[in-house]
Amino acid sequence: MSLKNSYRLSNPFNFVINGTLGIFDTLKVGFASINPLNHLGSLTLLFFLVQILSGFILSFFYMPSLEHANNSVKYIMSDMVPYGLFIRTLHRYAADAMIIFATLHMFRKFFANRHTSTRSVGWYVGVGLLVFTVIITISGYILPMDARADAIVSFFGLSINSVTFLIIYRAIHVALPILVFAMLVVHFFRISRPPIIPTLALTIISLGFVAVLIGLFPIPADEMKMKLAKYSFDWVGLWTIKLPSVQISQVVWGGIVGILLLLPFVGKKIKNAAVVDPWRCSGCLSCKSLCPKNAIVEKQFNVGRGKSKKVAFVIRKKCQACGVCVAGCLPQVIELEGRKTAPMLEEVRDLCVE
Amino acid sequence: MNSNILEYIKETVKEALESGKIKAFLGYTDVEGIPGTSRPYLAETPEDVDNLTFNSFCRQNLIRLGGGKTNYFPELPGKKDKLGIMVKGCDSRSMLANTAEGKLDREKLWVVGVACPGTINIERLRATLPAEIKTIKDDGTNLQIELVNGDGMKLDREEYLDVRCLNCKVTKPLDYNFFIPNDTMRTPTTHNFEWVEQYQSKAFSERSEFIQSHLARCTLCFACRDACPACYCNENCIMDRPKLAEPFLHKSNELKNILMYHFIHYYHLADRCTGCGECTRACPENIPLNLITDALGHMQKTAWNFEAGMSDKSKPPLLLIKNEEILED
Amino acid sequence: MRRVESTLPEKNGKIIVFFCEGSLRGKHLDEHIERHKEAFFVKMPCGGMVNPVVMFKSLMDGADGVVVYTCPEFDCHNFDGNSFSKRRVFAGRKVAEALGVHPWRLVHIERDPLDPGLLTRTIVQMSRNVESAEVIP
Repeated sequence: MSLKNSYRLSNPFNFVINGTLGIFDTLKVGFASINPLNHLGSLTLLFFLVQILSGFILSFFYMPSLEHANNSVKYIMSDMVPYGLFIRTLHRYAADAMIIFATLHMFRKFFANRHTSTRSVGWYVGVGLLVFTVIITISGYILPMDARADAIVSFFGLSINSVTFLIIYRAIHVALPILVFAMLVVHFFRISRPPIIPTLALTIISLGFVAVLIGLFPIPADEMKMKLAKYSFDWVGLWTIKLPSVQISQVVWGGIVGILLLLPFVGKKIKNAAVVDPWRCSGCLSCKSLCPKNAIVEKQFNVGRGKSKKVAFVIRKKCQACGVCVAGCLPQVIELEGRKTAPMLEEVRDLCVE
Repeated sequence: MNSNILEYIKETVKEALESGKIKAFLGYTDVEGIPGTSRPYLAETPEDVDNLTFNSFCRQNLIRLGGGKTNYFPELPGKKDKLGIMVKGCDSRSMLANTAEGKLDREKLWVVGVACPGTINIERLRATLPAEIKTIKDDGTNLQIELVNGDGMKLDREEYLDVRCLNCKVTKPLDYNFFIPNDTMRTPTTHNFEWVEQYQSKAFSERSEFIQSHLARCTLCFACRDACPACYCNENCIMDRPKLAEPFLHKSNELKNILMYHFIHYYHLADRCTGCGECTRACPENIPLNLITDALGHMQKTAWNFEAGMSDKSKPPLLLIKNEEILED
Repeated sequence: MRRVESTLPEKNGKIIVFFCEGSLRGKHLDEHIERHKEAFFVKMPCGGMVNPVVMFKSLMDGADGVVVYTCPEFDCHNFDGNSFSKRRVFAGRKVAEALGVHPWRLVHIERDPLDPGLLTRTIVQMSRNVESAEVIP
């Protein structure tokens, strides 16, 4: 499919970000460098890296066998391993943080209309990443083989033995993150200069916040008993197993994935309009006085390093795509979608030369 | 040109710089070693003012440097900071035209208007002389020249004036904060497009051959664009973007590409050209580009009853939606 | 002195017609395309998008003449597209004349409901002028 002929779609919920509500824009005001709402995607990546690092350390002490799993986790949480309890708690809390930020990131990109057209590749891969993250999280809760693991196993109706246990560990909890890493490359593929690293201040603040959380609420040691009637439940990662049955959970997840995959195709078609290239606009605004529909307004364009310049900006809704501004623009920075100047010139040249 | 005027200018500028009325002053200075030549000069301290000069060899249009081309424009962060600038009559038209198009902030300028005696085309003069010039002086009616080989001569300055000055309409600046009168100011003409009509009454094929034989010398150096005070796109100009200009123009010696470039340049100036003659002055190949610019001025006057740069209110006709007085042929 | 190697393109009898969507459509367009084998029709969204630079470019590419065909004045679908077009083509013609290209190779005409043969007459007249070398020196 050539992207040249594909049309852009506008989000039916566009009013949330651009229109009357403007929620995200309102929240974004101020403290841009440490506002987590500005860095949702990069925070997700940060916690994913935290997961990889802490999981790598835990794998030194964890024994992936049915008999020794529970004892080895107890061993990690005891005083024998320095910072063992801290790292295990971090591994669990960072997983929840990752899911939370990934979900928020998804909502933000949807409301900002960044899921259609060329960005749709990132959207599809992102849906896959979300599903894989949830699968990895659920598989991670089986590994300690405690009361919670029993609940998960009985919910999915698995008959757990040493072989299936090893498969869960190796194929899901270790191999899938590597696949996720590969998918992330595709996730960043179509975006020029993706801001994948959060600012230093935000990194310190968020990691410090998690560290304080771990200090206040570490995983209690008695949670590791095999038959425990009551244990703290992780609603972020494990809400799936609170559903009535496996079939219903399959329907729910199938519905979620289906809706997410269909979203890029939903929306109304945007009509052609004139587009100004703000980098090259000289800001003379002769197009503003030309436009019969008053669709061109003056706007400050941020050119980086704290500087901004005056440019012309076309309001899509008002633009009638008549092209008066295209012919009136002296440095030729305005192009009409669907009738660009360069292809037209080539068309004329072919007519003259043939 | 008496020296009193120059001292008057220096005194005024020094006073303005010392009192903090202006941050810097953009004027002219002599080029050392090349008599009869001057270059733009930015005086930033009262001591710099002694280097300033003004005579009939100051040919550049400073509005291009002071207002249009921003990298010459010193940074004026404060709201009340001003740049002093020296303008002749034709420069003041460029200034008003740029102000009318919103490209120049008149509030940022402190304008010293000088009555213009007309500028001397020193290149044309040099080409006629047998040897290099040692000293040259303009006394208002004659050019007193001393050559390197010791000869002295007296030439009529009317013969060596720039073409733009022969039919100049605005010898006294139209807008200024401070005016410096001059005894040797040229008398402005009112019939400034008479010779254009004479030229256009010739047969078309004759005119076409004449201008195209001259344009064939063009090397596409874009000096006419760089000197033009109305060309304010600067680095955004389509000619500087090879990828974008490619469909319009292949940079080669073919006449059709030369015509293409000049068409783009002068079509963009069609309703904005003030006829300041900077393109003619800047052309290294001495192409008579004034034929084109004067034709544009004539068209503005006859078809649209409009003259670019005569007031800071009038917008270019091609940007107006309804023009009642449009009188096309 | 450096000399230019090639001169301007020679005449080949081709005429480019830029027309706006409102002025020529449906069977009228088909009729005109049938009738004029020497003319090529290029569609524009509005007469206001016709840029004299593009017109001059097609002359330099080898076309003999350019006709801009727009809606009548005060009947533009985009308010003032045709009056802009008219004024721009006039300015472009004057610049072309100053550069030594015959001004009547750039023509702007408006659709006249009372004169359906205007476009045909203009194209025929233009190609006749070209043949008799009145226009191209």
